[in-house]
Amino acid sequence: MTRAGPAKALGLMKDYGGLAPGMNADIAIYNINPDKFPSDGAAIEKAFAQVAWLFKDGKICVEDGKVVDMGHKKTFWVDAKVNENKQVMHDIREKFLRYYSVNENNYPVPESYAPHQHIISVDATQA
Amino acid sequence: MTADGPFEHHLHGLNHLKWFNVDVELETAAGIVPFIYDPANAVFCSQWAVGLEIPLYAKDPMRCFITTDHPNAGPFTRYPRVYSWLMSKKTRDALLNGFKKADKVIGATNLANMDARSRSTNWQP
Repeated sequence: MTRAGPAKALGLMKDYGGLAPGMNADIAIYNINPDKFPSDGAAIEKAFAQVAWLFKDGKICVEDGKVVDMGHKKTFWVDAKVNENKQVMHDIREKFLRYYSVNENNYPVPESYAPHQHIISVDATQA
Repeated sequence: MTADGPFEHHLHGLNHLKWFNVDVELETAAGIVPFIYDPANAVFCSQWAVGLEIPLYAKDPMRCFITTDHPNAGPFTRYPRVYSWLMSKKTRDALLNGFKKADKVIGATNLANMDARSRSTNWQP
């Protein structure tokens, strides 16, 4: 459950950060007994340095401490719909022209850099 | 590590360590200037202590997220070491008292006075 906080902060609580039916099964299991938690720093570091079992999207990737699969990667990106703002676009264009060695047309990376997309759609036009 | 060539030049001017850059003039031309936390330097030791005070003072640990801005300021493979500093007062005290200018660092920060925190493992979302 160590990722519950970040999942909540990023607005991904529906799919990530918990153990419940329908949620994404990305689970790391550590060989630690919470009732006999080590107080010694070296023991804590050792305990968290290697997972016992790891599931990515429900697929076993680490089995009994051994890596058996690399799993699948996903590229997360936020598709925020905003109202057009001429002043902002003007300022961005000016920053590119004055300070950057690239311009706004070759700044974006091609689609091939973002395989297996997970799009978070946000409508900010009414904000 | 940053993708800002001129800033790498600035960092290199600060510590005079070896500076490596892919291409200083291009956008996202990544470079590295090593930073070594010298245990004999009171400023570096205080930086380390302040970095731990922030999460330890957090009222709600569920709103405190571990990140080193990987890989810029530290690789995520070192997170277990950060956990050990956060979770073990014994480890923090051993490091604090081992610094060359321990008295100065302990006087300038509040890390030595902070209690060992026990983190709840039965948190519900």
